[in-house]
Amino acid sequence: MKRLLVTIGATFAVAVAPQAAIAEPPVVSLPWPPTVLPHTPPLAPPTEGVLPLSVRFLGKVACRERVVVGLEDDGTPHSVRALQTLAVNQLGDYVFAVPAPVRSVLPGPGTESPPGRRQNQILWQGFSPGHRVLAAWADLRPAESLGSLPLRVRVTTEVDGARLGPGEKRSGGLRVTLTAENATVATARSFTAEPDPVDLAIVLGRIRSAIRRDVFAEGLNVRLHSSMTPVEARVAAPLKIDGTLTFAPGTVQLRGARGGVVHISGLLDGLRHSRLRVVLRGRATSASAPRLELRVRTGDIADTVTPSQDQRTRLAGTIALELAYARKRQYDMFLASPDQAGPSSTTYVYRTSAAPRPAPSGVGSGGEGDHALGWIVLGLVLVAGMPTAAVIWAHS
Amino acid sequence: MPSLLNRLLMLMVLCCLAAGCGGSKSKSQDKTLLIAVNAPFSRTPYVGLTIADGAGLAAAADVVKTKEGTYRFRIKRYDTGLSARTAVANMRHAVADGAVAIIDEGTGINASWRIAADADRPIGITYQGGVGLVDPVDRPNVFRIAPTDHGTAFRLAEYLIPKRLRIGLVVDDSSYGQEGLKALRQAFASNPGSVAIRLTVPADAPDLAPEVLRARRAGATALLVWAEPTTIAGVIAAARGSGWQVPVYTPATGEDPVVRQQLANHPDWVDGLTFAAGRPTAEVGAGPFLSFERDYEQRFGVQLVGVKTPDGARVVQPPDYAMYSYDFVNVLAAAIERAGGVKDREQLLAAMNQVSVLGANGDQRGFNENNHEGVVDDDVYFARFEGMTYSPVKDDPLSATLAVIDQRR
Repeated sequence: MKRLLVTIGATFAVAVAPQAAIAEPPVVSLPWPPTVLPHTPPLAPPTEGVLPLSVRFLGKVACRERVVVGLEDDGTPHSVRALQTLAVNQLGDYVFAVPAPVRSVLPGPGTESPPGRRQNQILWQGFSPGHRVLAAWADLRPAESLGSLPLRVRVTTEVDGARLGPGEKRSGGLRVTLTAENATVATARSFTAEPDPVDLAIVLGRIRSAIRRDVFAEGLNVRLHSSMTPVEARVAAPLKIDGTLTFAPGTVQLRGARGGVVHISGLLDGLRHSRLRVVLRGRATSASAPRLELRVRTGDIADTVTPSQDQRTRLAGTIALELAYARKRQYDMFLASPDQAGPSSTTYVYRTSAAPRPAPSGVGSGGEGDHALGWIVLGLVLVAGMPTAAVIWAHS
Repeated sequence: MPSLLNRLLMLMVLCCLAAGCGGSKSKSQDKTLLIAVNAPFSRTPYVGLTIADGAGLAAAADVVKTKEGTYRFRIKRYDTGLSARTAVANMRHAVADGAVAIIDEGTGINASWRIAADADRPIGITYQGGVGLVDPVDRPNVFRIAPTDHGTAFRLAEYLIPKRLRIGLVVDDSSYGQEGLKALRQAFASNPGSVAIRLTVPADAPDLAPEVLRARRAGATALLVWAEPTTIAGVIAAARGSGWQVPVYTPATGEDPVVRQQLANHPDWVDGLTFAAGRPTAEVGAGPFLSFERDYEQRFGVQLVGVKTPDGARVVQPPDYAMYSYDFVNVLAAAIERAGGVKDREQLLAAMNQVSVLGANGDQRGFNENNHEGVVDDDVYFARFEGMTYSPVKDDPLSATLAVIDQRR
């Protein structure tokens, strides 16, 4: 009986195979985020090259980051520090390097192992007894980090119509303008076509499932019943913003600003609403520029796909959902996680602070220049001092 | 006068160029670089030979092609006799001999590192784990591939404290013992209740029975002995000789053949001795180490301990410490390749922080700008003796993952 069924099955397969081959619609992948979206974030220093260490850890690593952006009074960023906390939840060895344009790397709070540092890398190596927390504070080179931040901030403080300079204090009519702009917007190559409804439903389900689980969406292939038409799609990571503008106590009179503190919040989806503008007016009494502190996190992705839509619209909505989620994940991982497909979240803190002073040239270099200068000074002292000493000795 | 000055300058330039070469040319025009091994060959031959042979194995195989030419290596031994003064004098000789790097057991490093630093020569410590020996900021030319005392002490504390033992901490007055005392103080600082008594004993004492008795009377239910191998053997002999079956724990000196040799008349006294050391195998399995061990034995022969298992098999000592000097030579070779040669010494030192190699046990070996330790603290495992051979314990997460290395011949 079994043999008979096999024979019938084989005969049927042979009979339908040529027709199926002719009728089979092409299978395509949805636009692949690593190729159609900008490559950063996560940060990837240009000199990184091939990692010298072979990555060894096959388990899941959960990543949490806090990126602190130092701002001038006018909102110009001057420094970036990142705290990356990795939770290794598996027994075994781990060896990996996180690419980053690091100036220095220090152990972060709660770390159970000290981080190493190489040129453009944070190094981790050790053994996880089942659970291990790895945390590092990385001071990043601004030139290679600022361009990948999700938000652009501008603060203008005017008293009687004239801009307040750094550290300056004045009295008069106050006007403060805060502008925060979603900087995650990108244009991606995409397409439109008539998709197979069943495939599209499966793919949509996979994307929604990945969003719920905070992991990378994979297996996004659909059959098409028409030719593809290339289109461009605008993609952005939605940003949730909240924070404060704080004036020195007793220096301003502003409506709704108790104790000189103005609360700010908003959601910038980057497409329909990409800019937040807050204008404050009041009176200044020997007031200086306010201190800004903004906390920025990625927000929820808008899922616009509904069953009532036609298949082309559903495909466009599915691609938009896929790319927006991929873009959001990029900003959830300012420093790359060793597990690129695993869960990750990042909080960006934009904070007014004094710019770090550049080190005087030569200080701390430890190079030959220091010694050379010392020898020159010593030589001059000897040249000038020895004849003088000889004269004094001769007359003593 | 100007011509004299010119000649002096010319002479200095020639001297610098000669020093920069740091080696000799073989017949095939390959240049040979000298690696000095500064170790106590006469006082603790097991340690000295292990270090030199590990380095020699790598040196024989490594060929580095750079823009300056092709480099090979040769090893020269300098015996410290465990004397810091001799170790310092050796370091001077090694630099004068043009050594490209110095592999050091660790004795006298606090004084000798500066001699190498002044000549921009890297030092690789491959035995002692003293806390202050390595510092990437203050001693940028000093590297280490060996378990640190800090890591060993904390792993011992992590392993022993949950056992709710009352530990008698015994150290000897050797520099090794005193460095261990510092590390143990830190490791047990937050759990003083686990420590029944702290004892420092003379390293050359003929009989340690009184000290062991003091520990017993203090209520110790385990002994952690951080000392030279002879002291460890003395403590075990004193305890077992008095009928005290107290568990004994040690750092890596517990696996030194001397301990078993001194207790050879009472093999059962060694049973249960548990030591902490750098793991000889990694998660990838025993393959890399067995391959290294085979090459080592083919070149230098087996290291016979001089004792036998209960069923009469000869016991050999796995070349676990040899893999550290072996790895250091390989890291050095990788750094020379990255630096493009050895003429720019500062560049070579900087390159030491940027390269990794696959170690003899399958681990990644390398240093970085923050850390000059080539063995991470996590890599300390525990092994227990039974029948004169040892195997990793099963009640520690790391050790339980490791394969048993055959020690019978």
